[in-house]
Amino acid sequence: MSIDDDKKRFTEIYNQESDPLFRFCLLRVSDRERALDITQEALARLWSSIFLGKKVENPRALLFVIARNLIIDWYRRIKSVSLESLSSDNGDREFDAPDSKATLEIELSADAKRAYSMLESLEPQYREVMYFRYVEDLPPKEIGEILKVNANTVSVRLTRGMEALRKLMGIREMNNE
Amino acid sequence: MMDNEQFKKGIEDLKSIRLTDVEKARMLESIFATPIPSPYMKRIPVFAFVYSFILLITAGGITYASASSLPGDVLYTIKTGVVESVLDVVNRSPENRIVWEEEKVERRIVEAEVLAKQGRLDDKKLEGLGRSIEKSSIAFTKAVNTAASSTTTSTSSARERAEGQKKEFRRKINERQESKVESTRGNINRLKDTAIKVLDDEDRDDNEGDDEDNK
Repeated sequence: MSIDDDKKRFTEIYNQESDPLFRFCLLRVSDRERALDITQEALARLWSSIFLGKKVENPRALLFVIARNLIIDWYRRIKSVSLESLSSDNGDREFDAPDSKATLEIELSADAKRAYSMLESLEPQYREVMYFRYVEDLPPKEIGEILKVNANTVSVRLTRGMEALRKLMGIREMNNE
Repeated sequence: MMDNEQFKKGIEDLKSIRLTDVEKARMLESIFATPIPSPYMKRIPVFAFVYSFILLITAGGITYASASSLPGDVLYTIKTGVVESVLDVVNRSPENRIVWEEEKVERRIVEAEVLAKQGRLDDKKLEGLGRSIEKSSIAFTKAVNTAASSTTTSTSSARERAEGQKKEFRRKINERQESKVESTRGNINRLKDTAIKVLDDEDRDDNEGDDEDNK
């Protein structure tokens, strides 16, 4: 495979995956410049793998895994967090926004902010699967690849996450009433 | 209050978050412009260590093997041209030089003896060994004289010491066991005489200098 072929393949992936990846990063770091940096870093690593002839079976999953790890590293650097919650390798690692105001400053519609706020209110293990399923439209198998859990676990978490979300909306409705 | 429809709309709005066209184009350009590190770069320290180790073992092996080499052998050039040249530099002080040059003369005589035993001592090798012995003997006497002139003790005792060192050198060469093979005995003795001659010439020069001083 020539470099031109590699570039062509990467450009196709780039056109398809750069927006979802950027969205994922932006919603987690709440800083456009930082999100751009992380997105670029993740894509550059994928390009490096393709260029060096490594076999990349699922570039989308790989990109999200890289971005997720980069975000975790970034949080580790900027925020004093409990090492226990970050080092646990059970796929339930949190992405708490460093500043809740920063999240709100992202230019979003009121509905989008509230929907995202709902997702953020869920327990970490449900939050991510719900995001990947309903915002990124990923099937359970791919979500499993990103979170390093099997598809059945993802399906269970989706069901429970949905229940939690309904409950949350119900409680809110009741509170508002 | 947020109902199901509003939530769905909110999710759709979230999906509209995307890169601008400018950001997208610039990012792609930057990714392609970023140099990709070679995977071999990571292994350079490992390669360096392995090659250094191999080099060290090889060099050590060659040096060790060359120690027992004789004139005419492939490794003899390494023995005299590399190993002994390094030792020449190491033994620079007159005291060390005296011991080292003495050692070299003995080495050459031993080499000649072994070659003679193996029947490989021809005229060419004999001549080469003779030259080497002469050179080392001259260096020996020079080192002895330098040590005597640089000493802090009185001139007479320094001179006595130098005489003693030369005498000892002469004794060592003369006391070497004579070759049992009659035909080669003459050749070995000729090599010994080369070293003795250098010492004799030196003594003669010294005596002449003393006579002139007395006059």
